[in-house]
Amino acid sequence: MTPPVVDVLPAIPALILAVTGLAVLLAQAFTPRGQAAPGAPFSLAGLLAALVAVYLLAARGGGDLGGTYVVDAFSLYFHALIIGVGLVVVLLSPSYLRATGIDRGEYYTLVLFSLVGMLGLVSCRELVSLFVSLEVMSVALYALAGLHRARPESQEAALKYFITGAFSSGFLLYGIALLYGASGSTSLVAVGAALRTPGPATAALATMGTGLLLVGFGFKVASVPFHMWAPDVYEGAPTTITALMSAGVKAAAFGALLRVFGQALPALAASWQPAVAALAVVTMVVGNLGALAQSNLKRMLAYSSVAHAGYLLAAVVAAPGIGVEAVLFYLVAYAAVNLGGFGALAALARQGREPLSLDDVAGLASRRPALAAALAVYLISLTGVPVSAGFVGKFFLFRAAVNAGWTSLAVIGVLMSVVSAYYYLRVVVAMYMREPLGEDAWAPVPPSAGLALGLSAAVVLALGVHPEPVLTWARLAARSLL
Amino acid sequence: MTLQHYLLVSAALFALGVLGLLTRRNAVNVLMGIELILNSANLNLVAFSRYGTGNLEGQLFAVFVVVIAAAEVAVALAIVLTLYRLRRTPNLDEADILKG
Repeated sequence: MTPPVVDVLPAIPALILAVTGLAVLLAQAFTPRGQAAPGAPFSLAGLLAALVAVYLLAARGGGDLGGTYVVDAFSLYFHALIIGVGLVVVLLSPSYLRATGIDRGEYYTLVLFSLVGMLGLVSCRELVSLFVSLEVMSVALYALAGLHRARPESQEAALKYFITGAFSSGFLLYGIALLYGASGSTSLVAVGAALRTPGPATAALATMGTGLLLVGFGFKVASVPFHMWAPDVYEGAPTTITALMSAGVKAAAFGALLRVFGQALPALAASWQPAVAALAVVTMVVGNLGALAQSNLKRMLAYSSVAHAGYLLAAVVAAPGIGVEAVLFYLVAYAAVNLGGFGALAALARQGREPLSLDDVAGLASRRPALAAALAVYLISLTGVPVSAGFVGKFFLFRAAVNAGWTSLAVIGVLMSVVSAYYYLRVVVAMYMREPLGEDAWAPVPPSAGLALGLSAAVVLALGVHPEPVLTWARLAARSLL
Repeated sequence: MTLQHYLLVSAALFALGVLGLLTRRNAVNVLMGIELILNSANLNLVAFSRYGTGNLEGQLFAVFVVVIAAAEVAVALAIVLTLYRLRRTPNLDEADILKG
């Protein structure tokens, strides 16, 4: 018997990140006490190498790792997005970690490991690797949320994130077990084929399994009514990690959701589409109304990320087909603005204090004009004003919903976007129309964070003015899913 | 013993796990609830593999889940311990700074 030949090339980007993570950990171990290990430069080098590997893989046309881990146009699109998110987070981190006194080597290792999990999550074509990737991502993030050991808020965030995360993983796993029982396989394609001709018992198992999967994914993407952890965790976690969670985890979770529901469960679309539509409606409404009531900026952005999960779900209802490319495009726009928004708050942190209330950012434009302008760009894009990525993205999301016959979803989405203008633009008004209160308490914007924020703002504006290249790529990625 | 028996036991374990997670206030009890949920799914996987599907994928999956559950609990206990050091209580109701 000859051992099976496995082509490991498709997993190279993830492997590079995992090895870099270990190298950062070792570098920390060999650094004398009291000195800083070169965690950020190592991580940046690893992430750039992984990005090159993704480019080479794309030129080679992707590949397949033993039928469980597939690198097609869909995974490559998400690979580029997730590694880009990682780059921005690592650029934002050094100054923030120093300002808050949590500059430790394991930070970068855990960030890289969670990125490995995200890469796996969007590439898995099989339910075992889906669950393993999900947990690789989540376990690293539980630890990262609680990295600030002296702050009770950070510990509380870690505990709440762990409990809801493990709870949702349990639902997801139980759903996977039922799908396995119904179809006799854990491969997405085989599950999809088996469910096309179900017997009566199989159909019941499959419907229950689909429901449980939806609950599990609902927690992961923070959709109402499974969102209650998000504001607390986003507020308590270190701000750079909040940026990673809101941009990276949401992208990876939506990637896995699209792949699982698109490849394994299209036969059950008639039963899950109304459920997803209902989730989308309550998520858009509750997310936006919740954000209205917030005075803490991190909490406000957390509710806004809940609301955006609702807009994205409205297009997931229209998947497969035009809905997928709309979701893919919007995830890029959404990642850029969230990295920017949370990143701007992190960049201003000084001596453990961050700007968290409207008063804290009052008059920011007169003292940090560039940063205030960037933050205004992100907030305008979140609102969905034309000539920003958010407008183009929302246009495609709602058009997908209308084309699929869910006009009511688009109407609610547009109405809620109008509501959202109030709490986003309130921040812009505070930055530009009010006088600064008291002394200049903000940190000077560090160069690496400035680069990261500038990049995010450039992506937002570029996608708003000229979305074609990314849109073409998203269309290609969506087609590889069918 | 048929497949139905295993599925019933597994569903009962799952319900007990969810109940424990929602009603217990001690963090360690909540962790036990999470373990019950994961293991109820494991029982399902193994039962389906043995009586239903005729392949070993389910049993293989269960081994992965056991390993992951161990890693998860290691991190969870670390989080509970650091919170205990700050607050001197394992009671989840008292972790209530973040709200609104």
